Amino acid sequence: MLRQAAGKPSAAVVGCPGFAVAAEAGALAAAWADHLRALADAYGGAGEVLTANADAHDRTEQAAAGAFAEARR
Amino acid sequence: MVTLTQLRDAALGGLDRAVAEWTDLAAALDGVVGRATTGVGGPLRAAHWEGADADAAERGLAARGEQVMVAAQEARCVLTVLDTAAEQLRYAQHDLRAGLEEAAAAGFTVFEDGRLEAADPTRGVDPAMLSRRHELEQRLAAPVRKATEVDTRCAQTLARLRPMATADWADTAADGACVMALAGLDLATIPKGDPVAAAKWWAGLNPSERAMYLAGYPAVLGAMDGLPTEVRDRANRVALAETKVALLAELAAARAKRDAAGRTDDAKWRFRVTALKDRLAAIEGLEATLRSADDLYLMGFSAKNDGRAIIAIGNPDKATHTAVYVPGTGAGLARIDADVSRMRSLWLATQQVKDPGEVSAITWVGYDAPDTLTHAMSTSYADRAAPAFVRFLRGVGVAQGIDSNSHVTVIGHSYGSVVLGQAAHLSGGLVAKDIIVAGSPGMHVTRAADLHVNPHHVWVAAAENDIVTGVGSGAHAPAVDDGGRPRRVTPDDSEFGANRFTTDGANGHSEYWSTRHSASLDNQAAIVSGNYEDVRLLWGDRP
Repeated sequence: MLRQAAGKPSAAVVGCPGFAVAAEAGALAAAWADHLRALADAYGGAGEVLTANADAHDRTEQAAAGAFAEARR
Repeated sequence: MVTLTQLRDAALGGLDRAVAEWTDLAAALDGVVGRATTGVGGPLRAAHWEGADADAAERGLAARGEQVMVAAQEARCVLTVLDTAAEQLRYAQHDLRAGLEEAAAAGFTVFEDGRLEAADPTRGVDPAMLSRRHELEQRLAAPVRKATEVDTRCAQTLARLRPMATADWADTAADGACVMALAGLDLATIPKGDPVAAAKWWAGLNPSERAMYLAGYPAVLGAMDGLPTEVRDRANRVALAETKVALLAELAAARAKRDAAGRTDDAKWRFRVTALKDRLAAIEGLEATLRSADDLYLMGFSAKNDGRAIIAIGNPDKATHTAVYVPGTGAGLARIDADVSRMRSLWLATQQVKDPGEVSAITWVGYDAPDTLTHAMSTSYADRAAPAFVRFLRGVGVAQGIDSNSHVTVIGHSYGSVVLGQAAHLSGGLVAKDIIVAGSPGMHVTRAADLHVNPHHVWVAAAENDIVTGVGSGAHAPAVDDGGRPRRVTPDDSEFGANRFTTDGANGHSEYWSTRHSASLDNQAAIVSGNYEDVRLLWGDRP
């Protein structure tokens, strides 16, 4: 979900060449995309730790790990 | 700097698209926060996982959740700036294009740098044309100047909205204030004190406009009766986080002043530090309560006085049956967890009855409750609480929709029943089908019928050894003539005309929601879910 969300704002605001606000909006979108991808990886990393340590029969931890992985997407 | 040509030719729809994209991002991030709660927090809590690893996982989850919440709020700030830029640049562009038409109609050619020349060179030296040329050059320069100013201010504001490595609510709150100053969103346009008007206002806003108000006025939206519960919850959680960082900053400043104060002044600062620590502890208690389950909605929050909070278990907007509980003396943020636990017990009990439907159980600490029994002798606390409670109930109904068949039960414990009594007399009264009072010292009426509801829907619980009903009656139960002697009538009196239900095993004033002796709880669950035939009565007539 986070990786998908990160791609939502375009890094370029078309139609407004020469405007500082458009340039800044593009730079901001790129910065937030990086930030959210890093956050997604942190969620994903936590999910991997859970998966690696979860008892194969422990549905709860598996479910949580799945949700972490979903958050990363 | 924006040029005449750039402004004239700008396709500002690009900024509108960016606004829409950032609106989508904010909504997606709100969704992530929700999924992280229900998809991750819920299963981990359900697993009863304990120990250092579990603590670390909870801390990590909370920290990441905060980051996503901050990101959503910052995205709302970004779209507000972009929307402001689009609107103001569009206005400048419109003005410029009108000026260009005027210039063309007056016989001038306009150059890219804003200079004008007469299209007919033979007229260029005409004094009237020279004057008109100067006038039109000024006319065209004004919107370009305005656009440059808007562009610069908006770009500078956007620059402060870059992401930070860790969640910083102080920075986010400052960003919100800065963005609102830029956008000029007027607080006066937000309806106050009228849930119907509030709901109508909210329904008339588009998603971007809603996001803008959430960016700028979370505390205002969180307190607005009539708004959807999910909106209030989101707004109040932001307000809670921002209040906490503001109090932490105040605490740090107070500590510095205490440490720097001389002997004569330091007592004052010590007292201040202690008061701030108490308020922060209460806020942290509220945060812990909110983290304890994934079906909680923060419908109201304030750190004023003893602190106020309204917490719903289950979304009342979607509920078939809604209970609203008003606790009494001593209620406040510091003990909100205990009051929510009572409603959790009630909510769980409703799940055991037949056909419970969707149930929401709300704890309403939306008032400054008396701190002690001495304070509780005064009706002033209830008088101040009653209008807010009536407004809240109306808001619940409005958010449920006027065609809803939702069934609302209000529950007053101890002094909370005094609040219900005072609310019943206000214009509009208690918008509820059933009234339950437990351990009531009186409701300032002698008959259930005087509460302006069908008395068959008024229910009372009183444990045998609950002394509050007697102790408090002198202040809140009116007297009737009993053979020449005055006698106070409390709701548990048969003469009052309410249905008194059993509380077998409940001991004293505070076990009406005990799961150990569950008669009181089961009876309340039956009332709240509309299963009146299952209520065990000591006396009265069920509906």
